[in-house]
Amino acid sequence: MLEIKDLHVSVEGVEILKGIDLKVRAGEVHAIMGPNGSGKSTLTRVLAGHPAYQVTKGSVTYEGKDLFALSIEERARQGVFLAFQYPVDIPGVNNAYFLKAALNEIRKAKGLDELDAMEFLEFLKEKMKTVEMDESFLNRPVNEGFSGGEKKRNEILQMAVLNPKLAILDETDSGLDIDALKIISEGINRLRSPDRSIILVTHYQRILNYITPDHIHVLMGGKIVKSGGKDLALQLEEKGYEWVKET
Amino acid sequence: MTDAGSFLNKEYQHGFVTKVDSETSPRGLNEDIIRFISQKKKEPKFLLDWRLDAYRGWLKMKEPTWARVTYPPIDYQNIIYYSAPKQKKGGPKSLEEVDREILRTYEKLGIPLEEQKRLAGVAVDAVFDSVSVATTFKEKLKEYGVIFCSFSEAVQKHPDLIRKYLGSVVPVTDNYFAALNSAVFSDGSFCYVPKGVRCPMELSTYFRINAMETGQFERTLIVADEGSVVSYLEGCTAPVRDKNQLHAAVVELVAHEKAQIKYSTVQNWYPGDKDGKGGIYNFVTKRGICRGAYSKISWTQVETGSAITWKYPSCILQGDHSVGEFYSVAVVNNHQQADTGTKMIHLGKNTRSTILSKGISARFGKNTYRGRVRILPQATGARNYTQCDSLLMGAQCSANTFPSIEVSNKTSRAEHEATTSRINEDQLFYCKQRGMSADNAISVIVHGFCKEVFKNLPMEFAVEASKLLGVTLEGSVG
Amino acid sequence: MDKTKMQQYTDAFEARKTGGMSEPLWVRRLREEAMAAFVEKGFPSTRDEAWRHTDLTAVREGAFIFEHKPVSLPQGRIEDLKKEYGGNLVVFVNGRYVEEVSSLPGNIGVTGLPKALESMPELESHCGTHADLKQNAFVALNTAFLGEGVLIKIPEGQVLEVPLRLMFIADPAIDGAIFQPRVLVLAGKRSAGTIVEHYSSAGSKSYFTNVVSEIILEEGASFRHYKIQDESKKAFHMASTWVVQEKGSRFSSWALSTGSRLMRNDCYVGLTKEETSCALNGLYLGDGEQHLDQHTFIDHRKPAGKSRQFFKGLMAGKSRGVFGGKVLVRQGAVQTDATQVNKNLLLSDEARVDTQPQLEIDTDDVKCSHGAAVGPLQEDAVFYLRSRGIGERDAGRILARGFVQEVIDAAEQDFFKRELEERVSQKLEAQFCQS
Repeated sequence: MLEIKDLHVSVEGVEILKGIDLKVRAGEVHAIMGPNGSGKSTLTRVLAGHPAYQVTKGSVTYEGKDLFALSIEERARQGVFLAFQYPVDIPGVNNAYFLKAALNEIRKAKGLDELDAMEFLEFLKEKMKTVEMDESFLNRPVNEGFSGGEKKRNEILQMAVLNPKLAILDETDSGLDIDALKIISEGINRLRSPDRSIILVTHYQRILNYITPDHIHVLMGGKIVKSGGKDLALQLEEKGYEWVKET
Repeated sequence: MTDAGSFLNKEYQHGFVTKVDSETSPRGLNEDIIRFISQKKKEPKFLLDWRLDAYRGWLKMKEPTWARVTYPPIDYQNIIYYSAPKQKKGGPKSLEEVDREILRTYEKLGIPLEEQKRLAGVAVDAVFDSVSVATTFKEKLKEYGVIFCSFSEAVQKHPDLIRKYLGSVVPVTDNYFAALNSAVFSDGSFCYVPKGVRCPMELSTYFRINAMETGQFERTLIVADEGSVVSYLEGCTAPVRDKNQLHAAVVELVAHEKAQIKYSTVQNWYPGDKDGKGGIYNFVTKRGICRGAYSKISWTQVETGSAITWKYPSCILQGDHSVGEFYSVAVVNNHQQADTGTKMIHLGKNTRSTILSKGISARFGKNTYRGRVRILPQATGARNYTQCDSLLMGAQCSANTFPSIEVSNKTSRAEHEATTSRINEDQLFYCKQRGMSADNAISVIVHGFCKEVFKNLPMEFAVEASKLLGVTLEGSVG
Repeated sequence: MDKTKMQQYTDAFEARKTGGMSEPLWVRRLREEAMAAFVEKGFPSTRDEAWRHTDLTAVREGAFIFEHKPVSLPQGRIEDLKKEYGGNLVVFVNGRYVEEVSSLPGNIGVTGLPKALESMPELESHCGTHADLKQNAFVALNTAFLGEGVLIKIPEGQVLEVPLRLMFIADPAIDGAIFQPRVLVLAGKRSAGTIVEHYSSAGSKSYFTNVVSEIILEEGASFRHYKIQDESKKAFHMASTWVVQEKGSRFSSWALSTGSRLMRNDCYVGLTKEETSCALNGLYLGDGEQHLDQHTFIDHRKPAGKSRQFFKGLMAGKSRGVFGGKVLVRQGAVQTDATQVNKNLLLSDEARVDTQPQLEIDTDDVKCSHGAAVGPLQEDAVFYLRSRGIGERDAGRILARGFVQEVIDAAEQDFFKRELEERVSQKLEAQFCQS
């Protein structure tokens, strides 16, 4: 599904990622863990195509294609989804309108018919139940005035609606209380499937109590310094990130 | 010693007059007066020509009327354009030769010129009426290659620098008062900081108008070469006189690549009496240019004095990534008028500017913020943020906020916010309930209102400014 | 002003005088006074502070035709209008009120201006007294040719239930026509109503609309003034609305400006008595070479007045947007509460916005603020939308639509909100085609 080779990335001349190698197969869930400032968010945003980052070296192949040759929206239309750590407020644009516009673009790209307003609403309401979202939500502007938990739930809802092949979740667990964490984890688990891959970026081990990854990688100083199975998370939780440095 | 009643002296603490023998030009302005000044200063021909150009330009110009200030017409032929304390031939060679009376004047103003008495970190150029009387710490600065001297001395010793930079930021006919200044300026300060040098101490000029019916027209030029850093302070006072006096200065700043200039002013010219009689007309042109990339110019001003203040310290942000800042507190009480603000001209890419203006009006005071932010088409990625707040005390005072914002490309951003309101009654009540006098309470609240600006002043100036504010507003609310 | 260019105005004025129109003496004097003021001042230049950002050279150099033959609209067009906008319709063609095709509500008076001026001497105290012909050259010019237009009078206590639409259709037969209609609204004590002034073009000829509206709100009246300006890009549109508010009255306005080559829209509100409130809203959307200038002036003269202003601009192509908004609080107007917000988006590197908010406060017991901003589309929001599969141009258009929603929401009535939404979406399409 996704293959990252020797990826180097800079922001305003400062190198953040210093050679990342990562292979994600269809159906796998990879957790990427690491302390603050290790480059986790940079990795997720580069994959989605944020204009502030310069790829200075290396390559990323997505479903056999050069990911960097695709624009931001082309990546999304071909199934790359980024759940933002800080979802953006869009005053004046309501959720339903926003999601319909996005979904229909993606359907168009897949050669499917666009949904009309009624069909879409029905479909959306179905999905909203899965993340326990109130219908009043539909008419509120995107992310504006949302609590932290609501914003994260909105990201998972968007993921459920847009049905991506590769979901990249950037600290979707941060700032959530335990109930919200459960709802969101369930939402994510429901989306696990043999033809969908998930990259879960997190600072804490906590969310991994609810979502069991196939692989765990530790990102430090812009490099993956350790990879392992699900037990690695527990070791990290116990010994801290310093321990990885020492080993 | 003083020619004013003691009650006045209590309000304006710098209102005394120094008795010195002065050498003055005849009243009025014509080409001969300009030649007289130029000759007195033994100036090279280029400078005399430059002055005459300015004068001829000035004759064709009209006094500006757009500012929100009113004053009776100024009779430019009734002003004395040159007045200097009489000196031994060739001027004082050292501090010992400076007139004792003048030294005593500065001491009284809290600016002793003997180096051993000075705060070690500040070098002072003292300008008395039309001439610089002393500059301290010259030798120490020389070790670093920093040139800091009176303008007249710079003309003699560094004519190339003067020729290169004088008028390069404020052209001779930039505006009416700048043209007048260019024609008749008599002295001022000059500073050059060479490449890569961080100036080891604060530089400052202290301006004092002493003589009667004399205008003061000084000129300041600061050049910070590549990668250098300098902080400059300016202070001003004048005796209590019942006639208005004109002060029309020009300040030019040039910052080359990666250089930083911080220019701070505490302006406390005599504001006139309670009924608006007397006081200084402070019509000043201040402008800096950030020539090189990553350079920075920061203006901080605390304007408490003068009958009328008319000045707009500005920045031309020419170098890419250059930064301009303007922090201002302007206080008007009684019949004072201030029309002040800034211009930020964004020419370079990714240039940044910040404007923070606090205006306080009491009694019949008139305060106007006038600002202009221009982001030109080529200045992509430019940013400006402006905040202007006005505080009102009294049903007959006024506060105007007149910004103008012009943005001409789609990657830049400019934001302006302004508020005007009365001094907060709850805060006043709270302070008084805790036992403060009304004056004290106001002083505390006003200080809080201005804090964001004060924190940009060098330490000793911040203390001074804060005190001044209290004095200026004394008794403004019953 | 160039003498030969001024000649056309004085000639037209003389021709009108000898044309044998009957008019009351006070109207004639008013017109003469206005003409004298116009001749003396001419059109303002960019040296005038209030016109610093709007260059009127094209108007100043223009040759205009003052007399036009009456034109009638095809019957089908009238029916379409009635269908589209419902009941109350006042139709103007080429600046002239066409009573025959207008459909008027029963409980209020709508009278063609020539007739009203002749039969109602009491208009002398309103017509031309609020609009400032001494300071404003366009008011002077309009007043000098006073004649066409309409008087709308809502009697005391009456409520105009269905909004009244004033449809100004320009369909000149030749280039260079000038239309100078005038609207006078007298809203009686405790009356209420809404009018929509709508300016549009039918043909493709160039022309000049110079309109003045005067609106008087008597004690306790409540009045809404909506304006839609979508004239052709060959038109000059110079408009000013002058509002006078008596005690306890409430005024609100909403102005959408999408059309014309060069527009100036001025709105003056005088809060002349205690406890009045006003809310001015608007949106100017430009593309191509359009120059759209929106100015406001709120004059707080008496205590406890409240004013709200909210304007947004969105400029694409090589268009230029100008906003100037003044709030004056006079001595004695204590407990004034005034806010003003002006926000602008630039969609192209060749577009430009100049904004000049002004606060002039002459007393201390007030709460006033203004805010102005000019900037690009939020970069991270564009990224967010694109990362959800929405193309770059659509992302921009959706964000721009979101940007203006806030000010559309300030229109209090649904019928007008819907109309705004539709017109704005259309204009945004055009703007994003260019960016």
